Amino acid sequence: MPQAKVVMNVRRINATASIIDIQGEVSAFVEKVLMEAYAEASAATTRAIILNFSGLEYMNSSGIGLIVTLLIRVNRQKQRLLAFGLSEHYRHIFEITRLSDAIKIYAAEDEALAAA
Amino acid sequence: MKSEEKTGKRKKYHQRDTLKPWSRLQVRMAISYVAVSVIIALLLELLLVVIFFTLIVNLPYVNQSVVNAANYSAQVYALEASVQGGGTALNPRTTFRPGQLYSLSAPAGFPSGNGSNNNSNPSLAQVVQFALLIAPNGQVLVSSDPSRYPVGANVAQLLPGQAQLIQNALAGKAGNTTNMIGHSTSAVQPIWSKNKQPIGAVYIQTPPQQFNPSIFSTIPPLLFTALFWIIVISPIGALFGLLTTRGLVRRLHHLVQATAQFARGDYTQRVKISKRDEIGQLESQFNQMAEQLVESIAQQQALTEQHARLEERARIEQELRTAQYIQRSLLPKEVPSLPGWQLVPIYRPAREVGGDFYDFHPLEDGRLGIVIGDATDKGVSAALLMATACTMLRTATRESVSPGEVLARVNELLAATIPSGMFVTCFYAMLDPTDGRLCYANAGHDLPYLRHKEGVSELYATGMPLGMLPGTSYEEKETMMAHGDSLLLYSDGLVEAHNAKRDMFGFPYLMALIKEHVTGKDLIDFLLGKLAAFTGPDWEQEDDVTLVTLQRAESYGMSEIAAQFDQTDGDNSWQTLDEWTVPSQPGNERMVMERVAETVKTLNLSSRQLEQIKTAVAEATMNAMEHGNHYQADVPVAIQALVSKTALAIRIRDQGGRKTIPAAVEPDLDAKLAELQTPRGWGLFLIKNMVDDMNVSSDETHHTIELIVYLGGDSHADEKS
Repeated sequence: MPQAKVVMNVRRINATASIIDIQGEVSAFVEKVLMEAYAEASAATTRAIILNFSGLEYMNSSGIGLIVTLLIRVNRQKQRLLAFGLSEHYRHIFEITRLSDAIKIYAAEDEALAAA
Repeated sequence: MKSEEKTGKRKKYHQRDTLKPWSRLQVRMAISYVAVSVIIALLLELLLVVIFFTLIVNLPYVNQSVVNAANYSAQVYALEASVQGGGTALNPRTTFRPGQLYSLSAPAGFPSGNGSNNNSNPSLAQVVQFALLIAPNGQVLVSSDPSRYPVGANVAQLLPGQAQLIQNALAGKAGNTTNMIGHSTSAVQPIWSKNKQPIGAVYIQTPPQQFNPSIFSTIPPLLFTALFWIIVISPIGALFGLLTTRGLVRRLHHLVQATAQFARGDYTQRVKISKRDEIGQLESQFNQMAEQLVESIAQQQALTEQHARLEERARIEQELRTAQYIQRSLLPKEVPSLPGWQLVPIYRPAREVGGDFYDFHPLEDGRLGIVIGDATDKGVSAALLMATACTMLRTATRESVSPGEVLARVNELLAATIPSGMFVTCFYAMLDPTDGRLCYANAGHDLPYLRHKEGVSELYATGMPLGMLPGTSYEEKETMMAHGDSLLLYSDGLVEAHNAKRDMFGFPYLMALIKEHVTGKDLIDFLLGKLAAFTGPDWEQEDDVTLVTLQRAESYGMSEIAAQFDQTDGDNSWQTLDEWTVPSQPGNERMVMERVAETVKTLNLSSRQLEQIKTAVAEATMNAMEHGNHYQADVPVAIQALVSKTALAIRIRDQGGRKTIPAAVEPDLDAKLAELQTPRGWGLFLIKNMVDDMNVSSDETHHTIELIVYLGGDSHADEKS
């Protein structure tokens, strides 16, 4: 498997919300990275995981699959998944896949944090 | 308990059904015939006795001695009268006095009336009731009973029945007569004169004769004859009874025997219908009843058998399903993708699971373990054995990187656990996909065939089947697979398949087929086609058929790919903007995406359209590399960008050939979140939503997807969303 061309930075903003900054691509190869990031972001008190897509360069169908996998895990932990920083194109994709129904999408970080 | 009761009952039937030589019925009938005969004989005898006595009492009875005595008495009286009359005329005074019959003196030697009875003849007093002396003129001259027959009366008037007789006597003729009713005898005698002239007549009449009691002496003989008839008739009656009932009894006997046989379970018993009488009806009804019984028994039996068959079938089906489940659950769900290699397994289970298996073990050093095997026996036991072996092989692979050692370890474990007589054949190969090095060992499995440029060779290595003998070592060998080489691993279900003529598919034919096979095409499809042609359409698969092919891709050149497009694209209205190939390596879709974006720059598409085209192209390229080319790095994906006046077309072509696109399940986020669908599976959905049109075409070797975006409008894709 090729190396994942992605960097994920986890910021635990407070006891209940964490942000994962995604820099690069979201494809099949980033599964390990994403799940590790989620593990890091999720503490016992964490209620909201916020994905920052501002640095997203490329996301394919496998990447969407990964987001769905993450969503399932987050739901199991009784947490919520939020997102911001999506380009118009990927926002469109989130809409047609109906991911936007399950992941609340915000334009900017502060909006997302305020909602979290 | 029930069966004992039944046999007890049967014994009873058995005792009853055998008839003795003299059946009760026959004896009874004979007795009744005898009784009837005796009664008839007695009645006849009684009738005879009645008739006899009636006749004796009523029929005329003439006692000759009385007649003789009467005649004699008349003669005596006539002679006396003649003498007293002096031989000339009758003397009315000297003959009978009234009430004194014996007034005439009896002649000498004639027994006198007054007590002298010296002989057996009856005396006159006994013989004569009354006497009349009759004058020639027919008048009573003297009467011994003047009160009834007075003197001077005309005798013809007094005794009209005897008038003629008296007339004859007066004419000189003696005579007598007996009154049949009164049983009295009358006798007349003429009275002669000296000169022999009749001068009168004497009439006497005897008293009525008494019934003769000697008749009763005839009764004993009559009784004797009755006894005689009884003795004679009884055996005749008995014989008659026996003879007439013989046929009847015989027919009943047949019926009884048939019924008894039937009751004992011989349902073929039927009786011949002898006559159209009541017994005949009984026979006919017995036959009908037997037929109906047989029919209902048969129906019952058929039902029971059907039920048993269904149960057995259900049990077998359940067992088959269990075995199939075990087997399927252990066979790998996914085939590892090796760039530059095509690894295709196929497993066709027989109806009864045969114990075949294959497995892939990705090793940490990048190599791939490929296993094919066959457990002995069939059904659940084979499936369990196969499962055990499969698991042991997986475990052993983690501990060793040598095929021979893996087999040796598994052999030790299996030999210690499985019953003798059971074993597993297995071929284990480890492939290094980077250079085609193949390291292998064999545990008694059919030798795989390696097809290379020089021909076909067997991969031979010695070793006993697994689980047979502890302490077995396995020879390990190595070979190289060059570009275009192919390897076939298979189970005996293929080579031991029989056709309708009972010919076996066999190793030589298989080897010839592999030689014949054209590189680049799917070897499995080719072999299965040949197998189907060999066995014919009605083949019932005897054993599992398992095939695993490993093909190393040919190295393609760019020119070849370009030529492929040129051959198929004859549409002049399309202008080619760009065409190129990329190796089927993960991540290369981004290269294609960027190059397409660069190529279509001149078309002045909106940024949104461009983004959508990029996503669609990336998805299509990923599919081509993964599903079409199995990420074989040296099997390229060819891309062509074309433009017409109205549309942009991106064609993406892989080497997947006739393979159909996996049936796309419409992705549903809710189902995915509920884990009813895999989280993946968005590719085709994305493509369809990103472009205006999508066309798919296939030929023998290629599979092409064409993405169409109409120019001059950015509305289409939006509408879809």
